[in-house]
Amino acid sequence: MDPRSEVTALLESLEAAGPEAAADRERLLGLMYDELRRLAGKLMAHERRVVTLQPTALVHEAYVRLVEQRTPGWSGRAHFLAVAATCMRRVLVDHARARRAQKRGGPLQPVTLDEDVDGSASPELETLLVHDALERFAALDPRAARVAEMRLFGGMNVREVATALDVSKRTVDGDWATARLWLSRELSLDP
Amino acid sequence: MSTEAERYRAVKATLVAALERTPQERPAFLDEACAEDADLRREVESLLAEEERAAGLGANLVPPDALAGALGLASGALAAEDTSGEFAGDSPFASEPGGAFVPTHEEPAAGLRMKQFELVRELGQGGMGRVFLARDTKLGRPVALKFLKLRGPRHVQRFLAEARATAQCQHENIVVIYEASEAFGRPYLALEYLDGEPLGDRLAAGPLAPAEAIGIGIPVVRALVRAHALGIVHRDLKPDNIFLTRDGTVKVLDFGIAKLFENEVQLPESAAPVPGRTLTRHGQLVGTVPYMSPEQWGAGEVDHRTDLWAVGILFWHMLTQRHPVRRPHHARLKAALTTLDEPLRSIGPVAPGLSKELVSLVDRCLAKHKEERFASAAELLAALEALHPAALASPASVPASPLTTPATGDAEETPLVLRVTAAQAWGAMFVLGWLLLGMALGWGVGTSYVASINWGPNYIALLPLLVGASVRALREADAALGSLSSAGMLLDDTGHFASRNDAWRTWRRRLASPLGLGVPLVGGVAVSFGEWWQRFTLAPVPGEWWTEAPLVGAAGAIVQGLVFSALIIFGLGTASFTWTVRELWQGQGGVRLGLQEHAEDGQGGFGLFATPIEASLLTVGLLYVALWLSSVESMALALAGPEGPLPLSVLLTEGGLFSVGPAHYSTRMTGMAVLVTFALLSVSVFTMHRIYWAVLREHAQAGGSIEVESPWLVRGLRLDVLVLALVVAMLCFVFYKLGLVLIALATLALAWRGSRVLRPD
Repeated sequence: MDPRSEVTALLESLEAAGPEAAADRERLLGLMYDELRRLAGKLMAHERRVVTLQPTALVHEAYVRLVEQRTPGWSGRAHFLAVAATCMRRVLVDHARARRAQKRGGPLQPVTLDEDVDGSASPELETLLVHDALERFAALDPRAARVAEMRLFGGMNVREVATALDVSKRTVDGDWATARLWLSRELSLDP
Repeated sequence: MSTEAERYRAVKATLVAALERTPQERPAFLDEACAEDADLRREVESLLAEEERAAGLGANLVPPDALAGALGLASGALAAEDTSGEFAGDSPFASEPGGAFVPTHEEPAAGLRMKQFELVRELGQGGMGRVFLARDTKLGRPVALKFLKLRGPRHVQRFLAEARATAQCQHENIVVIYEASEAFGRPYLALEYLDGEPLGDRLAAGPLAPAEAIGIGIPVVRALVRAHALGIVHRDLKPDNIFLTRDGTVKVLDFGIAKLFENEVQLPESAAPVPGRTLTRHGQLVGTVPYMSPEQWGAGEVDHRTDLWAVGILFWHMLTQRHPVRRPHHARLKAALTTLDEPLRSIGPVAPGLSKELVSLVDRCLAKHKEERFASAAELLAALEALHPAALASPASVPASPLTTPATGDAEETPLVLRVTAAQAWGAMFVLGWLLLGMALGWGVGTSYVASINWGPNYIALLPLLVGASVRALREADAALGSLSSAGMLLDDTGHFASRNDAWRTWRRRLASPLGLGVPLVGGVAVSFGEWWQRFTLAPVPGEWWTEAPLVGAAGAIVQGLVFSALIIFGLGTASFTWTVRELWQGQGGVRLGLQEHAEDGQGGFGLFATPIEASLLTVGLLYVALWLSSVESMALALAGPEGPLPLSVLLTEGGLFSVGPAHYSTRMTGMAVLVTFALLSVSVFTMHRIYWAVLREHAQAGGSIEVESPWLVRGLRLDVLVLALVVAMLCFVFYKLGLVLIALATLALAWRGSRVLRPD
């Protein structure tokens, strides 16, 4: 099946079934993971001077390529972004784990002037810390954790999050404010 | 578990409610909300305490480089990759180290750590160094780290001594310095991280209203008062060093730092003109060139009054977006500022809406002899604070003749800047609009005999062109008024100098009159509604939405009517405005307008239209010609239709003017409305055109020099505008039904923007 129409179909069924369609989400994640990697590679190879990859830009580019433009409207896009946020989180967390494992076991690497050996609060560590904190938070408030995931990892704005979760903007605002403060406190307690 | 969940829900509800209140209101709210529950309160407060830090949450969670690494795209691998475009890595997490996390050089860069600071991202680069957003991992707060481009132990030591002195300078309008130290072989400052924008960014969007400018000026001068009291001179005050935080506080940055660079200064004559840019060190000028005082250019010792000069330039910048020296290039500035006995031009004529007090305040800051400026920042502050309420008053309170001195005194130094060729281009564009309208009407006439069609959309397609042209005409009228005022060439009926505010006041008065507003509004809506009603009752077309949904159709008709009305009102206003200008102009007796006079003095040969009546007759006449010529089919039908040739009386009345077929009374009315608007706008454009020409001639005859300002000029035509207009118009014609709503919106937006740009207060 052509990935384009498959993604479109998945999105449609996701839209119809709501956030519960777990199998569809997983399938979509898989497709998206591949596409994001392919796309990033293509972008970097095409423009050699491009040294920055903007996650948000990447995800939106993936959307343009993966989804047939005729069908999903605004809400289709929001669903796509929501899945992309999870995908991005997974990519970054896997990567951070791999790098940390590599740092311990791999060859010695130069470190910054006075950085402690395990590079506390490096981007990788922060990714993992946020990830773990989000897991804990999800047990308490699953929806707010989801909001935080979309905002932090998917770069989605409040309106997109509200559409994806099918709740009001006000609700998202409250969830996001709570999640932010909660996560921030959690991270500062656990350096 | 369930109690924990309940607990969390209570905390969240209280927290969200608390966040909706201001920080000042929160304690009282919490007293009430957590009256008996100390635990709840503690919990909520501990979360609220995170607010500042939480703002930075995730700041480096997905840094682009980490993403590249995560996707297996190490920068090293990149160069080796072929151009096939396919991703080469086997694993998503290539073992190649991502260069981003490894400090291979000594430059500060995002992702690096340094002492307790973790560099998050670069915020910007200036003449003096680079600024990074960093996180203080010890205190958990965001800071801005500024690395200065100074090297060498002597410099660094001096810098540290200076920075420590500056750090003493504590004031609510001065940015806090947390630390001054050295890293990466260069000195840095750890500053309070400010959320907001530099004034420079705000000014890029356009000039500020006087009250707003004073509101920013006061805290800046307060900061200066404090610093001067400690013997610190800023020396590089400029919009980029003034920060407007999100909560509305004004903070001044970089006190005294410019001094460190000054010993290296030499003044090269050949420096390229870089207005508004800071030049870098090593034999180049330091400080922002347009903001430098005569002392900084070498005329005397620099003292605290240098900062007062900068405040003067700052006000020019905020209020007019101009500099008192025209085209402030390096060489011109130096020449203009070091000749101390020739005063700079006053801000008054450039910004005629300002109060006399503000004008004299700004002018006094910019006295070339520093002894003539305010003696101290405190004195300037007192003067500014006295102005604050006055500045809020509308221009209506400005005296009718604010121009006590007609010219700035140095006639050869102040050439008259006119955008006359741009006006020509817009005139040409207008002609193009006419041609297109003729085509549209011709097409409508041609087919209307056979089938009842609605060619209203074609009118609407022309609206952007029309409104664009008239907005432009108004802007140019305004600019012309400014030129006339500053050249002392604008007189009112009583022989006094008139300001352009008078013209605007008249314009507003005429707009607000029943004739200006009420008639077009009621008329436009009535006409459109009538059109819809006629179609609905007389000729319902099955399947058309507006016959099947009468209410929607009626609403649509009213909206259409409103659009047309707005257009007419706008046209009336434009015409009225330019007419006022013309009256003022004529009152001065300098140049006579009108076909008759034109022929007599034999000088012009430029503008065809002199009075509204002449213009209307001529334009409407031209339209008829275009209309008839462009529609061969309608001609044929009129002369040899199924019923034979139509009698002349029918052609000229019910059947002939706009539609040859069955009388479409209301459609014709709509057409008339648009026509009238067109005619009015034509008058405006061409009247302005005439005045421009006359001003130019007058000025040239008096021996004044003239600067013509117009970019993208090719043989006197704004080709970019013409091409754009043509493309837009064509697109509108092809896709007119789809683009209808879009175009209507764009039209309104344009009109709104135009009216905002033009409002002098």
